[in-house]
Amino acid sequence: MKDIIAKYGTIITFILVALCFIVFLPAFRTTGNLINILGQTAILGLFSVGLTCCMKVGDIDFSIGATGSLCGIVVAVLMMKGIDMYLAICISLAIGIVIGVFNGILTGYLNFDSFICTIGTSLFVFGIATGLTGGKNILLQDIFDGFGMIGSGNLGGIPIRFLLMVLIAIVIWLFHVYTETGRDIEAVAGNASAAHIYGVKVKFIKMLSFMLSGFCASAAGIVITSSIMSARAADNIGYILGAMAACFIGASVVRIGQFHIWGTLLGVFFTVVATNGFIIMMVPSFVTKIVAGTILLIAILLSIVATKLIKTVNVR
Amino acid sequence: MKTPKTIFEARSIVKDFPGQRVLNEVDFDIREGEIHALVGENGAGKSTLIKIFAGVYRPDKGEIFLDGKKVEFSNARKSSQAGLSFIHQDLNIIPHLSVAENIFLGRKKPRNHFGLVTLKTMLSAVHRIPDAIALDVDLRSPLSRLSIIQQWKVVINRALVSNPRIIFMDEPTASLTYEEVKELFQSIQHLRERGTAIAYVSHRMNEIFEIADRVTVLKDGVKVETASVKETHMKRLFQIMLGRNLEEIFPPKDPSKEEIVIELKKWTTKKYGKEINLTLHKGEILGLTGVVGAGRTELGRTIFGADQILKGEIYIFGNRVNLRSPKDAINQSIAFVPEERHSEGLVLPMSIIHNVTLASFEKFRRWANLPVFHQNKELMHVKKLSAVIDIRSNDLSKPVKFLSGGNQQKCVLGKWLTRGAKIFILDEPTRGIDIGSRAAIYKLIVELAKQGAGIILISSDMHEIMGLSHRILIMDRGEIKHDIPGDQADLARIMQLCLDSSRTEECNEKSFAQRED
Repeated sequence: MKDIIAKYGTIITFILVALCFIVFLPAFRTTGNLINILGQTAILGLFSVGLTCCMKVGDIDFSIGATGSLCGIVVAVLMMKGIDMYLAICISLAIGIVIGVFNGILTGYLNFDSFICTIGTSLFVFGIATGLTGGKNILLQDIFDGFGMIGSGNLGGIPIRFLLMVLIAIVIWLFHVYTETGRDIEAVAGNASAAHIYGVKVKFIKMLSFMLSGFCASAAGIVITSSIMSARAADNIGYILGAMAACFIGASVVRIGQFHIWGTLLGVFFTVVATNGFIIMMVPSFVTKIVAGTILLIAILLSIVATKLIKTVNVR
Repeated sequence: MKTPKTIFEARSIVKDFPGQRVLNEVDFDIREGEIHALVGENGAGKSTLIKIFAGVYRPDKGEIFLDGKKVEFSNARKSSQAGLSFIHQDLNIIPHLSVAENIFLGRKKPRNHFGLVTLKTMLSAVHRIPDAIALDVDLRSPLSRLSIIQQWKVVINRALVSNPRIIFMDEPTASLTYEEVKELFQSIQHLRERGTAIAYVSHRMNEIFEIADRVTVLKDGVKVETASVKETHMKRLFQIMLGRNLEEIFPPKDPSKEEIVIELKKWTTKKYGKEINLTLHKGEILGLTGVVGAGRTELGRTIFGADQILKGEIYIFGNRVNLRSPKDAINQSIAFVPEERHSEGLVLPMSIIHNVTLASFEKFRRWANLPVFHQNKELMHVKKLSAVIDIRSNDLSKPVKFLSGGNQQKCVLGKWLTRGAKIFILDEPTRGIDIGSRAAIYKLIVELAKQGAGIILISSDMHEIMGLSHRILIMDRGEIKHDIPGDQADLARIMQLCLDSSRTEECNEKSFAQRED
């Protein structure tokens, strides 16, 4: 029984909260709002999935916000210069990966603490982003309607950005679970020094995780630019915190104390649904922030409590 | 002689962990001013018993009496107030704080007229600790600058701050050198003279005979015997502790072959800078022993490429190779079972299946050229293997952290069997493992040698070394001092050779000691 509460407590809470909203808030249960929620999970979801890759191997990536911002700006600037949309997107994604490589070299190969050095990277990248825009908003004109589809288009009524996020999440999940490199990542996550003894390239695995994180952040940045058809330099600190909350909520589900992709997605949905419900209840925005903070703290608490519960159940 | 009165008594202590009874009706008592040793193999329940006294665990059954009055320790503070003091193996010190600050850590701190705690008030208060042990160090210097024995004295003084009647010491000598042990014993004698009773947890028999008044032996959670040290002897206690004759658990082995699998020439580790020449034959179990710090582990790790060497050559099956990383060594079919099972041997949160296949992914591919797993193939393999090497678990997808030490070690070995390794370097392969699993692992080691594997067995357990090895190498500070054929070895002879080497006393002690934690 204790075991079940520890493993599924967060999922049960999520279902209860969602049920309450559905029952008591007519505006929440409209098809329009539910689709709206799907759309809202896209950006946070992309950031969170990337961050999960890093947190899995015991690191954190604070530069995802700034990376997203820079990549969103790059894609806009390139398209304004007349470069083809797909090429612009590819370049932007590549930049995200390069930032990941940079972080990976610092933490994996040079043994810097990821907490400190990604804050450094974040400032650095944010600076470049500000320089590129000159501190102004870059507005994309109507000729880029095709690009706008990424952020605001639908496919059979379902937002494209949501589908995109789910696609990337599934690919990364499959990568983690079914490939040899994915198994190496699990090994590094569980015990880096043992993994080293068994021939796993720990440093490379760390770098790879940062690359994935950079890639996802870049994708998130492109989606942001596309959905508001403008880009400006931002550190997106709100997204970083939200993504951390999602990761910790994920770590309190089933595989307690470990970060995993679908757990993180649950965390993303939890955050978005809660925020959406509160907005519908006309709760002032500062309350929403307080609630978001509370969710983060509760999520961390949950993963600690769940770990303890599991320990008492399974102790030899 | 009049028996001193009993001040502390625990009766019929029972403690269950899910699925396992850790302590079964254990009695333990301490008399005024005595030193009472508590001994037993790893997993015998020593630490659990101490933790119950400290109020960390609550017993499922049983009573504790202090001066004949029943007491209950629901938390650590209660036991401390009752006059019990505990010194754990890791000492619980804060390295960058000063000696004085460490002494008053977690104790009531002395204050000045303004009610403030300053370094000055602490410095003068240190001198007012009743019967404190002389420290001979600057009380203001950070604890990290002190030697381990000095740190021990600091911690004993910390225990004395609350003026305890009984001090419990858990494995105090585990990390001390022989001279330091002597010094610690002087401090313990000092405590006894002041009238403090001491419960002393250890597994080193000769220490117990040097210092203790009485000894209690635990085996598999049951108290087997409490005896006065004067009225018993070492051999008898050993037999009780292990519970069976050691000769029974070592299977017969085949003679080794001529063919050489590893040859080291002028192999020089960074730590010792001494040259080692060594050959390992096909089907041979090479026992590598010596005291802690003899350089056994370093030798094993450098052969596996986990640590770098200064210079030297290694020939594997006659070919000169370069081993820069564990990956290189694995590709030369070398396997390494590290001393630290938890921190280096296993990925604890990963399942049995995934741990076993960790070093041989390419054998479980769904398509030959794609790095994607065939999970069913994996499962079938691990199922078959676990039947052969006897990994006992009802669920192979369970994280290995929930397995017993013996089963965990079988997973580590299973990983290398899966890989198809031909050379095994085993560093303390049975440390902390119960006797049943130990016998199973011995059987596996001998079986591997029969099939033609070369095995380097690093161990401090003399019985293990003598029972398994074709040849025994005794190391001392990075050098191989003796090379003895296994069939000519007997305990007395090996001990004599250890006695001849420079760290006489410590080696003596090690050969009696069963294990380190």
